[in-house]
Amino acid sequence: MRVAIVRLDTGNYGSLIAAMERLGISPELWDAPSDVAPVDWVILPGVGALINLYGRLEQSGFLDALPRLKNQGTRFLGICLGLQAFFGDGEEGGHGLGWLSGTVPQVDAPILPHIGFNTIQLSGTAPGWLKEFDAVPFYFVHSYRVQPAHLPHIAATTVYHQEFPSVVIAPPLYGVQFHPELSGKVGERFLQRLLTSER
Amino acid sequence: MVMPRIIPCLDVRRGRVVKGVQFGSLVDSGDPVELAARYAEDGADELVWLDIMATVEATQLRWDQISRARRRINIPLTVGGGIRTIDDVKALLEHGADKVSINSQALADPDLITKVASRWGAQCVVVAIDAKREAEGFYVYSHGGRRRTPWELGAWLKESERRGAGEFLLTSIDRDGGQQGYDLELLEYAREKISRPLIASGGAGTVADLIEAIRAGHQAVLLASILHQGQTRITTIKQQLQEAGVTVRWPVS
Repeated sequence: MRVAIVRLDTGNYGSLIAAMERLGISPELWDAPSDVAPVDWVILPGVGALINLYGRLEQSGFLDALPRLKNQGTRFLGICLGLQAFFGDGEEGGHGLGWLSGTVPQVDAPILPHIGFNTIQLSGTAPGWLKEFDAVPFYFVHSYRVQPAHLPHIAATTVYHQEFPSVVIAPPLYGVQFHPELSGKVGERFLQRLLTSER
Repeated sequence: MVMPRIIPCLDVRRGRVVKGVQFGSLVDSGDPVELAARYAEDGADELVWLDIMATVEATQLRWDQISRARRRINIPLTVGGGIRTIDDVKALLEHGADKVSINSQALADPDLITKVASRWGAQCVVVAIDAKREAEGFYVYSHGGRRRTPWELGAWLKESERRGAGEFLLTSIDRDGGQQGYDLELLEYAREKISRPLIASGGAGTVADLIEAIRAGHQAVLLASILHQGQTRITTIKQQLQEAGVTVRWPVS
């Protein structure tokens, strides 16, 4: 399986790379659109500030290169900010990929970021491979959430002072608000099941 | 709702784990990479790695150890100690840290908080604070609790938050290493000043101490000497928390 990680800044991709390697996958690291090649999965990781992520998507040229891959049916996994980047505009400002319609508002809670393990609850549209993760805790660290316009895209939700989408599925787009790479053994199993799931 | 975070702390010096009792006499107790792996396996929710010395010579050793730990652990890792510049932060993140903890240098150069937060996001910046109870209130100390600063605790918490701190690690100098329980008054005072997560540190000696802090609303607790000296393990602690009715991530599978 060929998996690429879009690297939009120097910094912390170590946890994600290490998690992939424990699954026996050596991910390619893409720093520029010239690195783009045919792969099974493209991962947009959740590193940095949302406004920087948007800025770097534009500056790097990925904003032109990634839609072509998506239109060819390449599957995308967005993690945390990577999920938020699937949408259009954020409250912090800046533009995402605009692939899904909806918004990226701040979580309505007295203490932010929402940090720690929290459970996900599946919705009626969750695919079969996700079933074993119902009520299972994953590691979250975020202050913003996504609000998809099309509700059936929400495969699971989580509650932190308010209910918000924690798994969004709109093939070929798959997004998680949590960090499977930081969620212990369960997180690794989640990545394994997702990456090997039927289309 | 989000579950309480049980966070072992590895106090590292020259590549070995130590734990100071009230920041004083240091006792050697192990290889930090091995210990980090064991804590993660046992069900720790995050790890904090504090290098007490973090000298220039120790920097390369620390990077190597962080890289080795990263390959083995699948939970968040916060690294702190001796961080002075954006380049120090960048190097630690590149070697596998998920967040950095800044203490003395944040006091010396508060702009560092702003810079790290604006580049990597607030969630990347843990501002660590060592506080001591004095006649007029709680005051902030730097340099491992040795040097008093002019900062009153509440004022420094607010200034750090304004500059982009995503989280706080608050250690009671009075309680640290004493295993007599967390300083709940200190924690309560700090909790009211900020709207960021706060990790309680200093004083955990028994599971009852953890339960007391969690029931008082403190969602993240740091453990050090209670674990290092082999008194108990994370597995036992989490089991006892569950039995006491505190919902934690347990068992991990």
